[in-house]
Amino acid sequence: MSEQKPVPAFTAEDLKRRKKRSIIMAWCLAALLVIVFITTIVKMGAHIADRVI
Amino acid sequence: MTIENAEFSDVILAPGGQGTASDYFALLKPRVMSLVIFTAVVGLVAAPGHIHPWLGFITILCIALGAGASGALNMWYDADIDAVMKRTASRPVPRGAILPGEALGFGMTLAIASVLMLGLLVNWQSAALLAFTIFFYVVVYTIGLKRYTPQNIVIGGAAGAFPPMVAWVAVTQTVDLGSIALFLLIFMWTPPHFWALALFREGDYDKANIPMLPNVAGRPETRKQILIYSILLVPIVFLPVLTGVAGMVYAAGAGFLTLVFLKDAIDIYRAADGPESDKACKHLFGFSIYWLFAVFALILVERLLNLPVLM
Repeated sequence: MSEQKPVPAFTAEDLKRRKKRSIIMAWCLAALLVIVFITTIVKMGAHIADRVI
Repeated sequence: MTIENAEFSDVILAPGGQGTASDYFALLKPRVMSLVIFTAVVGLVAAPGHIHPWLGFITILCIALGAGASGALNMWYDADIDAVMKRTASRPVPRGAILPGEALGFGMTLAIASVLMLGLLVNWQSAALLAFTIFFYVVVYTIGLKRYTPQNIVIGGAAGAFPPMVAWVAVTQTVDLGSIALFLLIFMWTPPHFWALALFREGDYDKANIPMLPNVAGRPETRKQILIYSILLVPIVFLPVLTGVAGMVYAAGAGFLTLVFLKDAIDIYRAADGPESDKACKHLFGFSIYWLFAVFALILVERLLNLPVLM
């Protein structure tokens, strides 16, 4: 039987930091979404309603 | 698996993943970024033509992200020398808060995101220039020049001079004389600014084996070079006037500030080694930051108040 390798582990503090980083990343992705949406509206300008349905 | 529910012998502390959000923020070099944002805003406002305010905001955001990416990639590559210099030893990578690989991934993600965003949302001309700026700072300056030549900051200074030009191109889609004038202001300002720092931090650079001018060519030669570049700054500061970017208020204010800059450079040139020299260098270093801010602020105020330009 092969010897079990040590398992990398995160401390409670590491996990807390990871959660905070993840929340910030989620906010950044949401901001990106909003930025692309607003930019699309700005670039389409007054022609926003001129589309083929 | 958390450390609480494992056998101690089975556990090694996780390599990486320990950085806090503020450690990652520090990777962006926020103080450098603030000057980049300010000069880019001036480039955006001074450029002839119109850009929708929202697209202007996106441009500045992308330039700021690009500057942050450059800072993170610089800290990834320079972790070894940052660790031995007093000024930089507490940065997140040498401190062990963030692994070099994490800094690399963070920097590359921001670099790619900033260029793609600028290209897709504003225009590809400015995105290409932003990509070149990041490449120039990371590959040409950090990897190529910094450790090998005392001319590192003369050539590398171009990287810090590009942001107003990127913003200008976002408006006009072309590089013209006005943007080159703004570029040259920062380009000529960089050597005396950093050499003044290097003169009173000479030991730090020596310890890290960085060939800054004082520890390669000596202190008298560095003082002479500071003076030469400061003299060259005098005609350069009037280029925005000659290219139609700025007017009389700028000419008077920037001219006066540059004469003060020149006086500080003369003080360094004349000072004897020791506390007198350190004091003169610290003074020029501090004043040079104020000079850059004030000169660009004058252009900004003139454009916002719609004051007449001379050309």
